[in-house]
Amino acid sequence: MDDLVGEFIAETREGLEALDSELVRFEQHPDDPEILGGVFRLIHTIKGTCGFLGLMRLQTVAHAAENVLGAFRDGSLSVSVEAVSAVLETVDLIRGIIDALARTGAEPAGDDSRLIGRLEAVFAAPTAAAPVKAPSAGATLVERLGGDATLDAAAEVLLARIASDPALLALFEATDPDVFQGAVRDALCTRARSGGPDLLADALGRCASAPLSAACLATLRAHLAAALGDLDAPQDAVTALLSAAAPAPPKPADASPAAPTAAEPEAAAQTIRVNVDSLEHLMTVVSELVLIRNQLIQTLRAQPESPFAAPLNRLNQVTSELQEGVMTTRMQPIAGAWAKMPRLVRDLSRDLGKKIDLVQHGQETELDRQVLELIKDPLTHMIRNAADHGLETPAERRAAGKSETGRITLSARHEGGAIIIEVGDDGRGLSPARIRSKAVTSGIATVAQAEAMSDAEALQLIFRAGFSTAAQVTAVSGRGVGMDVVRTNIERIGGAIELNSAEGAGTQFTIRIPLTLSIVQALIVECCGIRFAMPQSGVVELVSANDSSNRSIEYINGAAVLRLRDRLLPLISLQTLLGLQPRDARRGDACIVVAEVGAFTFGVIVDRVFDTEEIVVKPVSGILRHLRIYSGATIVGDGSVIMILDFKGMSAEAGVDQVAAAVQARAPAADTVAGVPEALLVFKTAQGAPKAARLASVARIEEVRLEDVEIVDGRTVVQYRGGLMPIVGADGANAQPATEARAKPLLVYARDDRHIGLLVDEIVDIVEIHVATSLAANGAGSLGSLTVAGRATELVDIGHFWRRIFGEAVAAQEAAKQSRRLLVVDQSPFCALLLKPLLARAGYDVTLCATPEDALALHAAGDAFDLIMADISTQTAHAQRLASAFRQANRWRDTPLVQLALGAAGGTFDGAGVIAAVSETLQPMKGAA
Amino acid sequence: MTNASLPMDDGARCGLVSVRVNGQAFGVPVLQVQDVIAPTPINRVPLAPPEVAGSLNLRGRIVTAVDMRRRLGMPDRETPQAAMSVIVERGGELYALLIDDVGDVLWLSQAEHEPNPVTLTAAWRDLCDGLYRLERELLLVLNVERVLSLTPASLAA
Repeated sequence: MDDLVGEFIAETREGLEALDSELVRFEQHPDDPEILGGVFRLIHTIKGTCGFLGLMRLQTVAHAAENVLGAFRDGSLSVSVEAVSAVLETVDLIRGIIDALARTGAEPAGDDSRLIGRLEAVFAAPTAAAPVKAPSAGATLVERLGGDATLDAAAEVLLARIASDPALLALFEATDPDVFQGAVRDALCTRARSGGPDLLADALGRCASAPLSAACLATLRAHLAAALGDLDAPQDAVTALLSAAAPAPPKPADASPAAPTAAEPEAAAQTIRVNVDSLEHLMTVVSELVLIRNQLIQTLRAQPESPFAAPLNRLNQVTSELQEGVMTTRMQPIAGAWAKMPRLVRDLSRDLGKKIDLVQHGQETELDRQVLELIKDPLTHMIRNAADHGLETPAERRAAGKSETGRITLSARHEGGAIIIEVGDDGRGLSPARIRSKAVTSGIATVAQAEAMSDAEALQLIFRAGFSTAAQVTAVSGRGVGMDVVRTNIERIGGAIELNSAEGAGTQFTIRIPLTLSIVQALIVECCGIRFAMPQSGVVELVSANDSSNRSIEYINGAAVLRLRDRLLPLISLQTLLGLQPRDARRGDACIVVAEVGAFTFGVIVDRVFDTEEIVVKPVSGILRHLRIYSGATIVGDGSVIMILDFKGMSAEAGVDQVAAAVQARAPAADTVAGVPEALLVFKTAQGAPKAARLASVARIEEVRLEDVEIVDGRTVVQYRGGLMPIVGADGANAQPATEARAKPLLVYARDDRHIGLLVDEIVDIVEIHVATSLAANGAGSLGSLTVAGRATELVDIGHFWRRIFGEAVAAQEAAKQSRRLLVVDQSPFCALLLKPLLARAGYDVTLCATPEDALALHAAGDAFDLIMADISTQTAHAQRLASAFRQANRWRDTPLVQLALGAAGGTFDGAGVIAAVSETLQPMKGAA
Repeated sequence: MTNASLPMDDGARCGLVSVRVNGQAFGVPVLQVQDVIAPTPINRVPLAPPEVAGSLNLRGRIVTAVDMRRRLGMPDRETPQAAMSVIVERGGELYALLIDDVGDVLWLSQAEHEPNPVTLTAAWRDLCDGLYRLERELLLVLNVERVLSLTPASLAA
């Protein structure tokens, strides 16, 4: 029986998958008899098998749903949203019971009376509305008996009774219970509707493995009679139905319904169920065969005249065919991953009060079973996102001049050895501006970074961890874990995700995934005589670094980097990472494999790069699984085993993640503010000298083409935001108009409504560094030098350029303002991210301390400030520590204190207000000075 | 391997594949042994624990090789290529135990099984399930599960 239950579970699960999409189609096209027939058959099969296996709970539930569906089919009940919902809920319940059954082997206990009650209410609704037809003698036999459903139930009970009677079981054992039940039901229905001859004996005879004796027939009839009696069919009707004599003449009106016999054609078994393990085994054997073939071909290559050449040629072809064949057995249409989507969209549209159309293209596109499983969740998530965030409410859509019904498109197609899946919606699209502000408030980017981003770059932020554009968290989505997980999952299977969005017109995600996981394209590399495979999907490009190619590896404090075009590429040496000993004393030149993990790019130094090869990925053995840098192992053509390197694991192992974090100058977390390193923008001037500028004081970074530079009244200017902005070379020289085509970065500084631009040749990096307090100024325009990445770098004095351009008067005022030193004592990232750049841009010299103790240390060091800003409003431990710190800071007693009340600010941040408050507080001081 | 004609492990008798590592005789329970193979090229796996010699290709399956000399804290063999392998399975994965030599399959009476002597070093006590006194020497029974449990603790040891 166990095998039967197992098969039932597998079969039912398949049926349920199909049912979800069928039912939703059914709701849209309630008049399509084919869909209705399909749905009815599915539920019916479930119910029938349950009865046979003695799963009573499932049977009752399925029975109630079947009644409703049967009524739809007979046209006695019109399809309503309520009814479909109840049936869908039943499907969910059945699914739950099946899952429990699979786990424990027994039906879980539970009370389904409410759901059954709902189904019965739906079922009873029209009958109650229609004139009540008592099961009187005037009604047809079918009606008196309680409809087709009763007859079907009786057939089922008969089946169960046969199963419990060994003598009868022997006769019917060979028959499919479904076929049997169908035959009996059809016989009974035909008789009950149209009268006519007794078909029951015929039907039973057809199903039995041996001719039925009269006694046997009588027993079966008795069983049926008892069953109908149990189902509350009136006794006279039962007798009329089962008597061998012809009943009363049929009523012509009842002859119309089509006989259901034609509706259930016997589908010949076109498919067989195969255990996945046997497929996997087959796959292993085939890959072994491929290897042997390769070895044979290699051996035979030396002897072209060998008598084995011809058979080997054949073997070669057959093996390839076999490999392809086995591969296809693992392929499944993507519809398997999509089956749940129509149901999901339907439920979402109900929950969210939106009208949504789901359009699907390319369901038949096939991909590996394993990949299929892995993309289900990301796809579901993206559909949820599209429905919840992407599409607007009907009212909003009307206002925007779109049709009320939103559309989600799901399409799949093959493209060059990969599957392209597109998930699109025609909703509101992503707003780069909203993403920028969201990124700043959630600490993913600083204001300066957010402003420096192009719209396309800003859109990419939604793939960062902890990002959500949803204004509010809904039950459906918006908890801030989302697209980053989707991206990670897709990248884990060697895929990539791209995003396209037009504000107001919708969003489109394009996912590219490999057809299969077990065979991947890999780059074979060698390091110290050992070969490794690198998944081609993560490789961006190959760069050779040697003296002749004028590109060499440089070292910053022992860390290898490579200048690659416009950026600095952190490098990992495979030899160092793996602790290998070099074979030759001196390596001539190295190859660098540029790899990409998420948004982060790095290079891997290897000795040699061979070819790309298709490799069969096998898991890493258990005792090596702790090595994160391997994602698998494979056997290459010559039979040796090589390890597959995992870029993500490598970058984690080498610690380049942290390097990358510094390179990208992510927003410092609250606890790292303590040391207050300053973010410096490192750039090169036209003369190639490295210089640095405080990132916080840079308002924006623009790109300017030298041909756009004009000279007006002896000044070099460029048109900027509707006005003219003076620009000056970062090396102090005036920028000259030129015809050079390459756009150059321009650092834009802003004070009040004035801008100046600092023209640099190339932006090298952003570094976090402790700027020494005393910098020896060595010339105009320089605040002094400091060491960045091992190189002496000049820190630009932007005040010098303000003075030079806007004259001494303005500069003096600016300088006075500049001299105002502010101390901000707060640990929240808000200060580091927003307040400090804001004040710095307004011309103040801002020092940030995370803790009162740090501030006290500055006091001890003899620092003086014109104004202190601190949060002293709340009775927190922080505030108390602050109070005690200020009691000790004697020299600061006369320094005015501005209260920061971040917690109470209510979420809105009034930048202009803060500046006004600061300058007002400083006003009397200025007068006194 | 010609163990098909021999009786299965029936409780009273215990079948052991006798192997030799640095002169010491060990027995690997025959029911856990899948295969015994001749010396075969082994591909190194960088960063693997020192006991792991690398991985090898056994008819299309990847087998991780554990050097028993290292696992038992013995000196490395002079000719590393000459190691024989006893293939065992654990958790659906194949492992090769690299040993110096393979002998016969011995069918020994359970009654003769003796516990580990208390003087055996802790490392060996952990890897062995008692011993048998043969005519000319002592045969230690290897516990395959624990031999393949290369926990970080054993790495440190």
